[in-house]
Amino acid sequence: MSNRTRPKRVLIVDDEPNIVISLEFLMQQAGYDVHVAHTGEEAVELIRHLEPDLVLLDIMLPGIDGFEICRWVRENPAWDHMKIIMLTAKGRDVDIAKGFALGADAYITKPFSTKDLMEEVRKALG
Amino acid sequence: MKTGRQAEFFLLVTGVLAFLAGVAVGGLALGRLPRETPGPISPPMVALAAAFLFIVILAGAVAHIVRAYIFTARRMADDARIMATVNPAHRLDVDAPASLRDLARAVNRLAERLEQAHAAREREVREAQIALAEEKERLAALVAELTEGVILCTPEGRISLYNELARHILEPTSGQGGSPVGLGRSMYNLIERNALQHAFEALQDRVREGRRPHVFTFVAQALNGRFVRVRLAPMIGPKGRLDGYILTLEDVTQHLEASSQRDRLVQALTEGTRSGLANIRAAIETVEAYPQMSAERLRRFHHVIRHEAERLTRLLNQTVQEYAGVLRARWRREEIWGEDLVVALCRKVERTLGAKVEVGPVAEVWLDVDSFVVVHVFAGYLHHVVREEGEDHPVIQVSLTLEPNGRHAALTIKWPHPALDSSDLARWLRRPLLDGAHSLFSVLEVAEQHGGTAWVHVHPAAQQASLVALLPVTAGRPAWESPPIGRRPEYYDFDLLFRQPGQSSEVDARPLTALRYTVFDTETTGLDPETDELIAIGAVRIVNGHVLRGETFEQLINPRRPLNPLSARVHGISPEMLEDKPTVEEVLPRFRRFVGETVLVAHNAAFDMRFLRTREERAGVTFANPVLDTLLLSAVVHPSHEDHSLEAIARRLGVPVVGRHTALGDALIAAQIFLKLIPLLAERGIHTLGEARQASETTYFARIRY
Repeated sequence: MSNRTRPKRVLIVDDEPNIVISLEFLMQQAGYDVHVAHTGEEAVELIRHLEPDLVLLDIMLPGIDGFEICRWVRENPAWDHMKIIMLTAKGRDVDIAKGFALGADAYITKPFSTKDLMEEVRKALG
Repeated sequence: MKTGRQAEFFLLVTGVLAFLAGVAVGGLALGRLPRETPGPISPPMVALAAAFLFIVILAGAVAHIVRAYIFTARRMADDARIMATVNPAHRLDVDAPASLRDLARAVNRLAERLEQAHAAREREVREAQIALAEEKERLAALVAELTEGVILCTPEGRISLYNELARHILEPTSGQGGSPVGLGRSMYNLIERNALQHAFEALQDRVREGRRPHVFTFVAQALNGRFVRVRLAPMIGPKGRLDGYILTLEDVTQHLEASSQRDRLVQALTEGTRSGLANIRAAIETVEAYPQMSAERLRRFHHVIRHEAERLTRLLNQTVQEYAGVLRARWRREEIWGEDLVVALCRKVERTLGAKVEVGPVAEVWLDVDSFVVVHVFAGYLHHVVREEGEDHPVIQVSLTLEPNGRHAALTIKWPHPALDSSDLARWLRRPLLDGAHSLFSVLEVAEQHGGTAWVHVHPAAQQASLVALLPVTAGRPAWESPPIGRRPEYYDFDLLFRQPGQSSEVDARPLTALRYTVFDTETTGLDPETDELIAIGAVRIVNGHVLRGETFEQLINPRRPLNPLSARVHGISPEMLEDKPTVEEVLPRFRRFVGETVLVAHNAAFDMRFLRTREERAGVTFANPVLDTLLLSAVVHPSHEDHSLEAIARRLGVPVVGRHTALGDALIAAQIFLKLIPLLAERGIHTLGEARQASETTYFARIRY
């Protein structure tokens, strides 16, 4: 509905600048409104103010971790439309199960193919 | 008995009355004298004097009879009791009045016959017991040789049998003095209480519900900090009753450490590399997807890729270094005696090649290798290179040596090699051998996986080639070998299983035969507990009516004051022997632990107990245990004997006196005396600890009063 009025807003939450540089560039090239948080606290702040359409969420963050953020978002019914894609080095079955249980829409383990990631993002933002 | 006592009493009373009558009559006669007019002595006076004289003589006679017959008879009765119970070799003293002498001789003859009959029966019993003893011996040997710790315990958790390995696993690492692993000791002092209780209950449930297998396995922390894997199995008695438990113990402390290290390694290698790879991949894919990006942006992506690649390299090197031990542990490595490996390899080469193998010098080392893999891969290599040489060298002479080389040992295989070229030999080193299950490994790989390496040499002059492999040597003796196995369990008795442990409040009511004792003795610098000091404590435990020579406590103590040279002559302890010994403050808490909840026994216990009591506060312990004194108990059973010294009692009861005047030596003698006193006390109707203490008290007052 508002697709044409404003670009979808994507928040990248990762403390590693070396991945952020690629993600940020790719998302911008795809036409999204891209913002970056480097810590858990920063992410909470930006989610509250920007209410992004999609969050690319790393788990291992300084401060509040990605699982916590995911749960916090899902506790607020007003943000039900917000998509969460976990993007993390935690690749064990149990971590993936935990991510979905806490309300993630997708769980992508590092390393990943950027093409697949962009596909996943596009799908999530419908 | 009672009528005898009454007769003695009447005899005594008669004697006393006769004596008094004599005095009275004599006094009457003499009293009359002055009143009579001087003259010839009147006839009634003569009669009176004669009567007086007679009565005095009679009194004397009675006194003699009492001394010579009655006391002698009583002593004889005591001695006869000794003969009938603890010391059949004891004999009555024949130095007695004639009639009693005959009696004594008759009794001694009877004792002779009794002893012979006794000996004959004992011989039969002994022979009958030999078979049983052999059976027990076999079980003991079996338990001792097991490479697992084994403990049998009662349903209440008291130890009834253990092997040295179990003791080694559960003993405090810095253990000195007494060990908490001992017969009759509680398992709860060794393994974490909740875990053990839970296991006991879980097993009981299984047995009750008939669920198989009747085994419960768990890992618990021993109180010495080690992690122990315990397999618990029930001992089911003939009537299906639970008679106790069998515990097999394995120290898994290192296994657990290795396995948690492996987990950390996997974690480090997966999570650590995922991010780096993700960063590189995202960067390169972005660059490829947008070839028209600005030079500045492109430079930044290149930087990311280089930086991440370097980081991954560092991480990998670091991880490999850190977890090298764990990586090697993936092989089924075990300690193997160098010679055993060489012999195994020798046999394999002989079999596969039909070669003549000559074994050279073999170092006396333990190797830390997967012997199966090493033997197969090395023999396989040799088979290969010799076959490559062609059919015209069918029988070859191979030599094997194992020589120390720093932290490794060099295993060298030498074989005839007429060709000069060694490049094929080197190439084969890297070739996985197509031999059965181990086709995946090459010689070099196996050597390197063991933290070693391998190479080949060619000796053109001798027309020989050799393969050298450096294999790791274990640091010390292998872990399982460290306690010298072979010391058999000192003693075991399944009767222990059927005894109920009592509450400490009920100890007094328990029979003497059912209690556990710590018999001890001390050596001191002198006799005054206030100014003199303890210099040695020796103790031994009595459980189930047996002196346990394997469970002793012996400790010299530094008195921190000069020794009296005279006392050194008694105990043979010189000042130099005590210089480096612990102080009483260190020793008493250890002795306290050794004593536990047992009954304390000592000869002339009051002396030793005072030395302990006056030091309790300094050492921060109390010895509140019930106490029995062998000296007093001996006086209880043999009131008419004068000498109750340790030697005298030992002689009387037929206890051999060896190793006297060391604390432990004396404690051992006192322990054997104590065991012989128990049946003598029973003869006097003294069966329980309370009764024994009561009788001791009476005797004690009797002794200090006279």
